[in-house]
Amino acid sequence: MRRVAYLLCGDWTHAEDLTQTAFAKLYASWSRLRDPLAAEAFLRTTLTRTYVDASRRAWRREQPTLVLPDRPAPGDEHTEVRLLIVDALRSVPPRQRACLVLRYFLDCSVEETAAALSCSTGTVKSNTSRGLDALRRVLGDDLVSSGREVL
Amino acid sequence: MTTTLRTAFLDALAYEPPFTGDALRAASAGRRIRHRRRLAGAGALGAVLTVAVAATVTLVDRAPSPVSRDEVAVAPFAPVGAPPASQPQTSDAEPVTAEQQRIATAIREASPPGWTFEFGADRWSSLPGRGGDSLESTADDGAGPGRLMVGMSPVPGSQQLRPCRDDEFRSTSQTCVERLLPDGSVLSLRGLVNWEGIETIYVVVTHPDGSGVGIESGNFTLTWPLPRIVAGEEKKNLTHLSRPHPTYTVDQLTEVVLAVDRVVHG
Repeated sequence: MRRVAYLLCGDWTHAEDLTQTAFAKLYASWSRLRDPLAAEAFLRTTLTRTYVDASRRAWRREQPTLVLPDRPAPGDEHTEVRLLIVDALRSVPPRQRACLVLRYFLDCSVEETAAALSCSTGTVKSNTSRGLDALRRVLGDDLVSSGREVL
Repeated sequence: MTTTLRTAFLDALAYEPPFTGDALRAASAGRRIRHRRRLAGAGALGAVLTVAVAATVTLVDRAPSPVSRDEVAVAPFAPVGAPPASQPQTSDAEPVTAEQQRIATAIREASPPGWTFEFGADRWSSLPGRGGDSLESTADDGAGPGRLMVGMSPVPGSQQLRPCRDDEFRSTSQTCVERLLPDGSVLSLRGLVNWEGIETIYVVVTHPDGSGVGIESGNFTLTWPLPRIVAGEEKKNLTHLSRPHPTYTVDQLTEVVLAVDRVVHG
C-alpha cells in the first residue's frame, strides 16, 4: 500500500501518511466489511480516494516541503532514469495518475478502477489514455510503452 | 531504452526507505473515526432541521476539531527561534513574467500602503499536474516579515468548493466563514490556527468549476531558498518564528485573494 501511495503522491513521507490514513479508516470500518477478504480492495479504494481528495486541498501548499521527494545524490544512469520517471509521474494530473497506478501497477481492471475512483468506466478509459499521453510527452514515445491495450 | 509502464513503476520504487509509520497511531485514529461516526448518527436522529433560505453569509462556528494533526499528512512545524543571519531581508526584487508582475502589483495594491514583499523570480513556481502557479513570499508591515503563500489553480476541479466543511482545513480554528459570491463562487475565510506558536490564517476563493485562489498569511518565515532535498525530520527546521502574529487580518487577506483572483481568472 505504501508503494502505491508513493506512486500516487511522489513523496515517501506523504505516502506513509496516506497509508496510515487508509489503515485507520479500515480499522474504523472493519466491523462493517461484509467480507474480510475484501479488505485489500477497501484499502485500495480508500487510499486512492484519500489521495485524490487531498490533491484538491490547494491549501496544502502551505507546507511545500512535504512534496519535495527524498532523493539520493545524483548517481548512475539507472538512478537518473528512476528520478526522471518519478518527475514524469508528478506531472500527470491526480486522477489520471491514479488511473495509471491502479491499472498498470496493481493490474486492476477498468471496472475495479472505476469503483475505486467512483467514476464511470468511460472516464477511466479516457483518464488512462490522457495519462499515458502526458507521460509520453515528458518521457518520449521510445521510453515508455503501455505494454497492453489501453482501450 | 524502452520499458513497459509497470517496469517504470518498479524502477521508481527501487529506492524505498524503511517504514517509519506507527500501527498503534493508525489504530488510535481509527477509533476516533468510529467515535465521531457514532456521535453523528445519534445527532441525526434527534436533530431539528433548520433551513436558512437565500443566505449569503454562513457562519460555521465549531469547537476545535478532535482530528489530530498527526492523523493526516501534515508535518508539525517546530519553531527554531530567530531566523539565521543569512536569511535575506525583505525586498521587492522584481518577478519575471508579465502575469507574475500583474499578480505582484495586485498584491501590493490590495495590501495596506508601505508594506514590502518578496517577489523575486525564485519565489514563483509552477505546480506539476495542477496547471497553476504558486508564490512563496513574505509580507512585512514594518514589524517583521511573515509568510505569504499564494496558490493559484486555474484548472477546473483543482480546489474544494467548500473547504470550511473539511476538518483538516479548519484544524483548530474557532471560525471558518463562508460567503457565497454573486457568480456562485465560495469565499472561505479560516480564522487563526495556532500550533506550537506557529500562527496562520487562510482565505480561499473557489469558483463553481473548482478553479480558484488560496492565500495563507503566517507569523513565520521559511528558510530561503528551500533546500531541494529535505529528508524526514529536517523539514521541521525550515520554519522560523518572525513576528507575534500573521501580517494580515482575515479581512485584509480577503482583499488580496479577490485581487489576485481577478488577475488570474479575469
